[in-house]
Amino acid sequence: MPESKTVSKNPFRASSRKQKVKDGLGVGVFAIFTYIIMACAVVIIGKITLDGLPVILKSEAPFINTEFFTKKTMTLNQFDTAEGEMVRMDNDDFYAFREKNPDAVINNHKTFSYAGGGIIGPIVGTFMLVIVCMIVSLFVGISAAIYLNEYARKGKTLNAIRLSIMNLAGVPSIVYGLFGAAFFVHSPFFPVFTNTPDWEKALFAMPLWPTDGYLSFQGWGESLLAGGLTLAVMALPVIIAACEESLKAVPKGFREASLALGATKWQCIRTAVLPYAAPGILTASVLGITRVAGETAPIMFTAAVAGKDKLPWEDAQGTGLYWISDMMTQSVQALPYHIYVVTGKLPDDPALKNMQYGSVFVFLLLVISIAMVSVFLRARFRKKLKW
Amino acid sequence: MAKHFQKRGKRILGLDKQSWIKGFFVGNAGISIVVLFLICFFLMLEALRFFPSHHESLKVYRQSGQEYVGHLINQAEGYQEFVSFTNQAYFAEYDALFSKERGIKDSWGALLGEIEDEGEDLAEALEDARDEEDEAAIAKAEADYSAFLLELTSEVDRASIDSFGRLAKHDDAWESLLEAARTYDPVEEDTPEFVAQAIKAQKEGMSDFTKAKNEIASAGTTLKDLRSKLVGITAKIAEDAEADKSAVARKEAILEGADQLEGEARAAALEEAEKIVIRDEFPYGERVKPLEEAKQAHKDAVVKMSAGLVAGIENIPAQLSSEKAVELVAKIKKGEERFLENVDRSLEQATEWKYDEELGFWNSVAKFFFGRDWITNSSWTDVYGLLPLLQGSVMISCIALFFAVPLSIGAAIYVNRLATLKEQNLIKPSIEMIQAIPSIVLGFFGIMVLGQQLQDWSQAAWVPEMFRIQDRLNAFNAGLLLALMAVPTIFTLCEDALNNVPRAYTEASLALGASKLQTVTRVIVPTAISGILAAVLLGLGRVIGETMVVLLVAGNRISMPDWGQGLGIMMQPTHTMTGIIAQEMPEVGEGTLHYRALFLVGLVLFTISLAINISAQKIIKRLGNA
Repeated sequence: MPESKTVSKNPFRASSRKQKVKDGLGVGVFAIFTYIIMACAVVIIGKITLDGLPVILKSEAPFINTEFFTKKTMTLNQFDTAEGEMVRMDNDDFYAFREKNPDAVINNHKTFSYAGGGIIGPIVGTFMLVIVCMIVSLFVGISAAIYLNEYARKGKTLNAIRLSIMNLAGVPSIVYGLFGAAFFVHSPFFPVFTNTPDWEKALFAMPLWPTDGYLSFQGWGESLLAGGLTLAVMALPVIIAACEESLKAVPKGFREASLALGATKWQCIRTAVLPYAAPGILTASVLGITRVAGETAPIMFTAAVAGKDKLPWEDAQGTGLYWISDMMTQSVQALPYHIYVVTGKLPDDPALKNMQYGSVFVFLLLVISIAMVSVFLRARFRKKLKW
Repeated sequence: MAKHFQKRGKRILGLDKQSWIKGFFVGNAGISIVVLFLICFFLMLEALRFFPSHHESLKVYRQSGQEYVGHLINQAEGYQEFVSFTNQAYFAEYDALFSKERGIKDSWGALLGEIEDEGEDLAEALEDARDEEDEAAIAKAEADYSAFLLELTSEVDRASIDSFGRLAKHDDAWESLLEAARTYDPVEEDTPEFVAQAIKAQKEGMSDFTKAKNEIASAGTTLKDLRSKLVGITAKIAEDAEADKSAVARKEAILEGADQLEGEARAAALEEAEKIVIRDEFPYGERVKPLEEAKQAHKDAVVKMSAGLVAGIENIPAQLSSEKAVELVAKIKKGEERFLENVDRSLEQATEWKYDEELGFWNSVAKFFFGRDWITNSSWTDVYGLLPLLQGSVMISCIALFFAVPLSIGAAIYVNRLATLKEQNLIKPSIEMIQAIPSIVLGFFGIMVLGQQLQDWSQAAWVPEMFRIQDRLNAFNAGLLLALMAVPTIFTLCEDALNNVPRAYTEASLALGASKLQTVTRVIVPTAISGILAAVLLGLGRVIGETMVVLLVAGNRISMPDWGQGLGIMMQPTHTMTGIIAQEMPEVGEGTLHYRALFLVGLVLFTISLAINISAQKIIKRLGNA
């Protein structure tokens, strides 16, 4: 056999020039991709901030347009004065103006529903929905995570639970909306306290002596409860995943030490695991809930209405339990749905611009700042809790 | 402390405290199973009831003859398109050739109208004077009238008379019109020579086209008349059949009411109840006889229509001077053959229609899954077909993934393997921030900013014709925004997959002298490929189920894509499965056919997302173990 003429190259030789250029180009492409993504985000957030900031700021003290945050959503009036100047006024201002100057010339009077006033209604509605969602999903989610991380042994039950959590995470938000509409809104399994049961819808109604009210199983209708629970169901997989991660981060030694001292399982979890996992659980869950609370599709058919001139607690009737029940079964305005109404459902007009950019900016600010704070806190906890 | 850890033996229902606590946690974990089950159950509960009701409504559609008339309507409407195209072509050609003449004719008419309106009294005075043959009076009336004409012509508003500006470039014609108006005699009502000439010239010049146009228009009238007649008949049949179903209940209600009445009112109520006929079966056969009889007339009308169309199109002048007319005529000629074929086929189907032909249950299933139309709130009949929505969803997802996959995988590789620590600490939270941007905000951005921007950009000279954007809201716009939504999902999962590659692989590769990039592309990525694939799949799941962006930005036009445009269909508005649910759900009543159809779309969506999820898990399991 003739000796091979190709001498194997030195594997430790310096890279050729060509290879270096190639490397540089490759890395450059990946870097460009990364920064394109970042640029997109910056452009979107920047544009909305630039156009939205002027709506909520004022030139004189206190420099914040408090009316935008404290007034209810109402109709916007637009008209030309005798001098040909175009004026826009909220409905209440407009009526006051008409009363004061009954002879004022009003030309080209146009009205725009939901485009005037402020956004206290949507803000309050969103907060209440999130609170309902949080209470339910945190309770169930944390408990489920504790089971999965602390109690569960490998087996069929665990597999089934894991599989369903994983699948729940992939269900589209609109499907949650449909489910909420069919289950929480229309099905009669959910009870309300009321003096006037809806006999046609009610499965049955239990008279509550000595008051003259009933516990009526008639479904919740489009309401805070229905919307909040739909959101909670949707947040569940996110929260379980977040909590599990935090529980896993607690070292095994803590549990072993606690159990070795004779603690029961529950005592061990309560005293040696939960306190150390709690900060992580909370921040991660808040992050998850913010994401879910920003969704519009699940509340479209379960809770949200386009316009409402009273806040939930102003509109509630009755006393005590009846009052609470009535408040929780009110439909509400919600910020994301409000944005959808003023941009997607109404014909576009320059008169809407203030309301559109104002509410989008406020919403984005809320969501992003909560997310940022929790990302920041999470990073701190991770650094702090080192074992 | 010791007290803390003491064991207590108290038992409730045979279980000690620890078991109860464990049970509590198991129960909460089990909620996820219950919820998944409930979602399946409630979706199916509504969705599966769609098929029987759909079958029922299709049956009525066939029995009442609406199916037959539906064919006829399609034919008539298809033909109407040709009529309107020819009209457009005709007027385009007319304007190109005889713009001046048309301007003269129309302006003269408008001028006369003005003169007659304003000078009615003066004209009457002149006529009276002439009747009385009083020289002085005639002279005075004539002087008055010409003074009036002079005044009118001097202050007439040219823009309102020549409203289309056809004479804008022909000042001489305008002047001679005014001149003629000044000497106009209201009694003789003569038309000036040059106006008459203009009218004659355009009449002669357009005579061929006029003939062709009229031929095409008149050929369709018989079918049109037949259509309005039969639509009335079938609508009545369907209405009566519907009333028949509730006959028993109505009769009972009236009889019950009559019990509480006295005397005459009671007799009247009883008589009314007597009038309600209760039949076992609605006599469709008898009622649809007029339709059977109309079949021959229908055939004749279609034959006449087709012949008229062919002849009319042949008569359209071959030489056209207007570009728009040429384009339209080309369109007409292109569509002609297909239309004639379609008409023949639909005529065949129509003649084969029998009211009592059995309608298989699978028909209602097939009509939903393979239907090419989704028409709701229409005056004729609602059609529920999934295909246009499905293809819209798929198309938008493809566009989104086309952009999102390279970007996010590239970013994940960069952040995970190539970037400095500082960059990592900047990029990772930023991408998490993108995930926090709510979809409605992205949709808002698409409507207010991106749509207009893309449309402006697409008008640039180097952009191929088919990518020019006509509608601000379209699939491409929505796809871009969804790409941004998918990026965080794919990025995070990809990064996890890259993290899972054992450190030894990297070290071994580097030790052999591979560069950083070579290590990444030849060692790390191939090892992590299963995770990356799963990430892409889950990204697809996220995109296909996204609602608000597509609802706001995709344009919401339901139609099957025109593949003749190639990739240009990306620039068309479209509708999606998620969008249709969000759009129509708030408006439909609970339990209606439409409501159930939307739930069925939701069930399809749910099934797709489950399938995507499960296959992603399978990929991770199978490839991951290898």
